[in-house]
Amino acid sequence: MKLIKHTITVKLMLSLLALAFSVITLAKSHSPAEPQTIALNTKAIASGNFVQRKYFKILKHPIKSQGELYFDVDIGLLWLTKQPISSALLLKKSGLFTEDNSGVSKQIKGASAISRLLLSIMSGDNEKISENFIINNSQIELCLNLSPKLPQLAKLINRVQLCQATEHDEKNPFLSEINHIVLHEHSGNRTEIDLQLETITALPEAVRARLQ
Amino acid sequence: MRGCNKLKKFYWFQLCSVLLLGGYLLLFTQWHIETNLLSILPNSSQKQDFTIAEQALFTNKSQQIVVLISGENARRAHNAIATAVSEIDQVSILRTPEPSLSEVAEFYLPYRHNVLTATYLEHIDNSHALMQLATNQVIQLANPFVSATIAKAPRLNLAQYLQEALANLGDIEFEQGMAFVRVQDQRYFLSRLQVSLNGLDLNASTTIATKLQQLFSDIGNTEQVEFLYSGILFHTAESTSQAKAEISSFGVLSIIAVLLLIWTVFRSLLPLVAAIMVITIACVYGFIAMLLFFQSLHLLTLVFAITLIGVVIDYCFHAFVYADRNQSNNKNYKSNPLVKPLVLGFITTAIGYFILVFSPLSLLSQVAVFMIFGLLGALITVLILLPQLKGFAKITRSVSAITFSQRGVDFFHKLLNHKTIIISILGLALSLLAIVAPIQFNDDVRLLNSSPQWLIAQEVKVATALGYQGSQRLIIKAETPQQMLETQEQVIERIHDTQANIKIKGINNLLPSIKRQQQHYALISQADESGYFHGVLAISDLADPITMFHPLTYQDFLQGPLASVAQTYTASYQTATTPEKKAYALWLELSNEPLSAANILWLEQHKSVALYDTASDVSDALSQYRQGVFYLLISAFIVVMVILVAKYGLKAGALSSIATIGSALLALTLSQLFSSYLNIFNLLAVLLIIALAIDYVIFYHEHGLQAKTFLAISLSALSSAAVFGILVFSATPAVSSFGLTVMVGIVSIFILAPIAAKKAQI
Repeated sequence: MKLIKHTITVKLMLSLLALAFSVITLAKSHSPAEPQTIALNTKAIASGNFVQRKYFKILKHPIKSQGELYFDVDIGLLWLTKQPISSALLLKKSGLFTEDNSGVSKQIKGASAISRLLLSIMSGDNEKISENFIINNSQIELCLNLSPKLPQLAKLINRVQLCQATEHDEKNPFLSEINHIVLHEHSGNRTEIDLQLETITALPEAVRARLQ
Repeated sequence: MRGCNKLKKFYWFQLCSVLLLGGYLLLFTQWHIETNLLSILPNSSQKQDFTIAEQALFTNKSQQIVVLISGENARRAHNAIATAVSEIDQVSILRTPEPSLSEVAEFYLPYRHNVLTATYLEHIDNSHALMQLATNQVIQLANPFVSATIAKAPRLNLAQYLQEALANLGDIEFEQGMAFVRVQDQRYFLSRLQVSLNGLDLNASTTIATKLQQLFSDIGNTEQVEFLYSGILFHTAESTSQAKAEISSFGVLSIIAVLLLIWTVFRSLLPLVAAIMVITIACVYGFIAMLLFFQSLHLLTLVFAITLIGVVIDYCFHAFVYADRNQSNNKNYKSNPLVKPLVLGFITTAIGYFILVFSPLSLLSQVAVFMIFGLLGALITVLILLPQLKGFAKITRSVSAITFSQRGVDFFHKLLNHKTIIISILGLALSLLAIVAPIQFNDDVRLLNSSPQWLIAQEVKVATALGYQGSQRLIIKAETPQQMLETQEQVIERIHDTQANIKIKGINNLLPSIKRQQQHYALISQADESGYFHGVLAISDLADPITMFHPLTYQDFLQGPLASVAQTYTASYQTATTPEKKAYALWLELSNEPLSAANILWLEQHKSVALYDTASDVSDALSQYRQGVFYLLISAFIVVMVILVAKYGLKAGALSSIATIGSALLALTLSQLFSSYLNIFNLLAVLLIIALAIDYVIFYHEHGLQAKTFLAISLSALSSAAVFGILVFSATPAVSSFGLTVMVGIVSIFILAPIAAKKAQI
């Protein structure tokens, strides 16, 4: 009985110790001042759906759009809006292009930075994210704040918020699956993107052809 | 004897006067030396009155240097240049301004109802299409143009206008305030340097170019980066050092060759001293004349001027060969057998060069003035001063020279018995050469470029990276800024109507004319009244009432955040005709496709527009000038032949013509054989050949084919062939072509001139 008591006491102590350790770890990990590293799951080729909401300070309601997306880190990204209108944004090696519903393509010069950023996040290019952003914990649980280091991006975006809608993976104390991205602009406007991604082995041929 | 003293006094008087004049010109007048080949060629503008506009637009840019840096540490290298350049005098960093979007958007907001892109214009009367356009912009990922303008310009026409206008400015991106361009996957960081030199100070140019090249090399080694640079400064420095090296090496070699020849023939120090003295005086006369007539001397003139040595030494040789006649005769000027042929020879040579004085090529005018006055100085020195020198009459020919000349005379005497055969062979040889290597001229000025290949290759790489390789430039000038902008719009409309693929870069997308703004304002107002913007405004639920028309003017634009763009593409200047009034000019860069012949023709008919294509303009001018030189050559040749026929009779005149024309044609056809094409400088060499040939022919006519004449002409030909032959090795194609043709021509005339000689007692 004594032994059982001792065992319970030890277990309790150990549990308390573990709890204390967890609290310290959690406190540490939630300290906004402490720079973090990131360990997203890598997805070299993926497809999925997105819902985007643009919040303009001046507007009462967000402007919602939704559609599909495809990417292959070696080829590029296709951001295919289906609602409210059909349009496409293509990040190719040669630059960023838009395509309207009649298929007319137009290059957008000097504006590929944000698309490249999205591609880095979605594909889990941890090295590039760490290189280009200062990573801090967010006040919101399961979210991280990225502050752009590059003035090129910093000019457009104040910060990027990456969030994981699902529970933490116990083996990975950091965020691994990003499915909510918020781009905060200096003007106070923001773009929220909800993602549902799944890894695929290769891009559909039609998508690949458009990105070539 | 009295006459002789008078001449002597006259000689010293004129020499002192010339030297005093030279001193004054050298010290108290403004003159400088040029190296840019284009500066001495005919006016590069297709329309003369565009010259001032060109200068206003491009003079400052001609002293700019573009540096591209690639590699892992390119940003560090970029910063290192900025730091190091501040320590180099007369060089400063030009910041590539990074327009702030919020400032630009703020600036354009009052004019938001005056601007429309082509897409908005196309759908201005279609509410559904307008709504699609606006929605497409709104849903774009963090579109900064929409964010910056939607609150006050909810039609989003301004957002799209700014997006297109700024994108059209170029492929330059920025990182940490540093401009860079992306070529394939390689990033090239861009540094622009401004050199501030008064005129083209050659020594300063060379010093700065050397310092910069050293700096690029040092930083390149330290940071392991690659540098590409481009700028006229480097071409100036290269051609300066090249020309300097050639002037000194060719000059020294020419003098050594000539002096060796004199020593071999006369075995005395006096002819050496006398020759150096005559050459020096000739050069001084030529240089002073150039200072008198030109403010800007081209370095290439001095390279060509080395040829003066070759002609002046001819006068000396004749004087030395005939020096011993002073032992038997008195020193009476009139009895001097050299006076008549030398003066006649000088007159014919001077006529040849005189034609070039009025050449549109300032280089040739300068060379002509230098030669005429240099030869004049040499002539009077040879005729007046040399006979007065102590011991001059004792100058005798060496035994070997006498033997050589005697053998030469014997040989040519034998040849003279077969004049018909010689002339037939000459005719046959010319006919064959005309078939094998028909004379072909190529007037492309780029073939005359003497810049080293590596520098030209760098120039091309920089132009390719910055997207202006193979582009064309249009200049538009007008009396008012609005006229200028309206003409620009007409020109662009015409070009895009006929050649839609041509990409146009300029201020056109950023500053529409007031007339165009009024048109767009009217269209937006009309569409608004018709309710076409209801759907667009419903997206944001914001109101944007259209107020009074308020135009964006050129002056407003110059005060705005994009002023640096205006300074790049536009300029105001004072015209020569009305200096109190300002005129305006701008330029456009056309790329992707060359202008069609029909469009070029259309532009040529437009008084206010000119295609700025220096190389092509100069090549055209060279082509026209070459034809002009050809007719001048024929005219000069006819005049000189008439003089010779009048003086020596029909048969002698005809033989002289055959010898002269034959040598000129041989020189051209053989030059064609040695090089793949001929240029204007080969033709100009013919002028000199004719001048020299006539000298030889006159001497043979005056003195006959006798040992003294033969020796003097042989020495002349040898020295000239050596002097001009050296020029063949010049790295400057113009100099090399000239040297080759003259050398071949001299050898030809040396062989052919005796056929015009009268038989004489030895």
